[in-house]
Amino acid sequence: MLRLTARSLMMFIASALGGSLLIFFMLRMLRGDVALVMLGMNATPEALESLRAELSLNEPWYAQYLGWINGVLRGDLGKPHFGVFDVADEIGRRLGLTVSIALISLVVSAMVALFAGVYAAVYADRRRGVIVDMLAQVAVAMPSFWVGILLVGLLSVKLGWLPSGGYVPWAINPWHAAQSLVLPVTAVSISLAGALARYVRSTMLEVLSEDYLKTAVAKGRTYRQAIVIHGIRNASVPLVTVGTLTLGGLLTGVVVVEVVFSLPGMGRMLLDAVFAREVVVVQSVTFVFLALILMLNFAMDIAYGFLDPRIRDARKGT
Amino acid sequence: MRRLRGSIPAPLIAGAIIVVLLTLIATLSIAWTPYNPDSIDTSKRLLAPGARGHILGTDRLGRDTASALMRGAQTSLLVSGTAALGGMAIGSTLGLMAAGSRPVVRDVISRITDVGIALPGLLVALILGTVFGVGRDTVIIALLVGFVPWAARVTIGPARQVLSREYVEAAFAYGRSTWFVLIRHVAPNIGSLIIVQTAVMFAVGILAEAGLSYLGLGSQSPTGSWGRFLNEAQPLIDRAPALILFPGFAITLAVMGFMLMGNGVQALMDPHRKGIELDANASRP
Repeated sequence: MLRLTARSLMMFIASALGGSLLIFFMLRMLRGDVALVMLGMNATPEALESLRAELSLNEPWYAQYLGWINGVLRGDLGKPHFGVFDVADEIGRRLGLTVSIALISLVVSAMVALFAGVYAAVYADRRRGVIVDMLAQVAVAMPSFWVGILLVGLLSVKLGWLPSGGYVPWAINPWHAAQSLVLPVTAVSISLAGALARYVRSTMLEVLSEDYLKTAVAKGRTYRQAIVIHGIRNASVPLVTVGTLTLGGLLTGVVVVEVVFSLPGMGRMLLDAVFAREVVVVQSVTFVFLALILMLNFAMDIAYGFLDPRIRDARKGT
Repeated sequence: MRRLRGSIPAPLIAGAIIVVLLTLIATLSIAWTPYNPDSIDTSKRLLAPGARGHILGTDRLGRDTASALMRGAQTSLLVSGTAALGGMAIGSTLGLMAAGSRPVVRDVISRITDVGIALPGLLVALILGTVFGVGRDTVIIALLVGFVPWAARVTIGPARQVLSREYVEAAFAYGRSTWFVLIRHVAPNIGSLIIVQTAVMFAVGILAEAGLSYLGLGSQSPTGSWGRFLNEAQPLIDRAPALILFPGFAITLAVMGFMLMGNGVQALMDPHRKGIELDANASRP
């Protein structure tokens, strides 16, 4: 287990470094002069020159990169050129909301997917199993922002049960905070659960033909007990192995619902920075998003070790 | 789902019908739409579906919804198609090259694809949007950046498997060049895999185009897009729910069409072996 943790930690650090380099290069090098990107073609030479000085664009690239990383490690994520806020403080204000949506959605969709996937596999040759699988496929095909808009239309506008947008921080009123998160989390979870359920289903189909399940039944367990005790644990493995892929989808879902429900999260902040071409803000917020994903990935690696002893004890794995 | 040996799998038929219809509608929209999707007629604002002359109704400026959706199909297919076909062509070529080359080269290509896959597509799209400005072409480039390493990765493994077969060794022994073997023996053998993955890329591309356009990062006015249509219709949800329903159905149906087609091709090509799970959500940018 220690070996696995150490290896995952190394992967985490390597990926964070590689990712930061990639983000840096894409933002700074793809189109030559960053100052021109930010200010446009009509900028005065003086304005361009002062921006170049502000971003230390006249230094070599490695000095710029190291300066940025050095700041990140000290908690200094820079400032926007046209704004007054500090990026790190602003992220601090928005992080709670974004992470809440992401984590709750992840847990909810994993649970729904586990149930639906196992159900669809157990009843694979019955009509109800096929229907659950079809529903999962439709859920994947529906864009999460559309699901969000439909939920608002039905549950907020028509029935008035839940707020259609906005957010009350947990610290001020936990009940209102939870209420304002119900619809966003549902919107994110539907497509995520659909995708995960399909993985769980195909794993469970394999599990169902395994000998250990028959052994358990032969030893006196009922079929249902055998599935619950032995099947579920094995079927939950894909929930953590499809990690990185799932987390990309989760990220997209979270950013999109922040817009649908006008929530003041990090996704909204990043989008505004993109439209304003605030290179420094985009660079730092993208990196924070990537770091969050890598952390979740790291946690999933460890969880995988707990679920699958072969991985835990392996000298060399994938 | 069960099927009789030798018959065409049901998902393939369903998927093919949807995809063909979609393509026909998109092609037709280049030459003809019932109305000019941009022509504003304030006397006919927010007509309900089924109104005379406007089968799907009109939007807040009196523009014909059916015409807008037809042109949206065109944008959707153009963006996802360019990215899926282009990404697969470049990526699978890279993958074949990697499979046929020395271990050092193969490792380098594999590591690069790992990095490309690890960075979430949405972040790539947002970064490119910052640097190049938002718009349809940026969406295509962002999708290509995601699809090329994906295609390379799914090609390398199966291609290497084929390369280790005896008849391939025989071809080498006969004096064939690596390129000849790759094109003559390897490519046809992984053809079904490539078709399946391309279908999934189409599905992912349609979802991504819609999502990015909804966020305002995709095609700008006047180019029609299902995602932007939904963005514009969102404030009207209580007055004109049809404006929300139709584009959403269009997106879902289009995505389903390509996913079903992918599933069907897979079932057709290897009915016994369990293949790669199809999943559009996994790689949404």
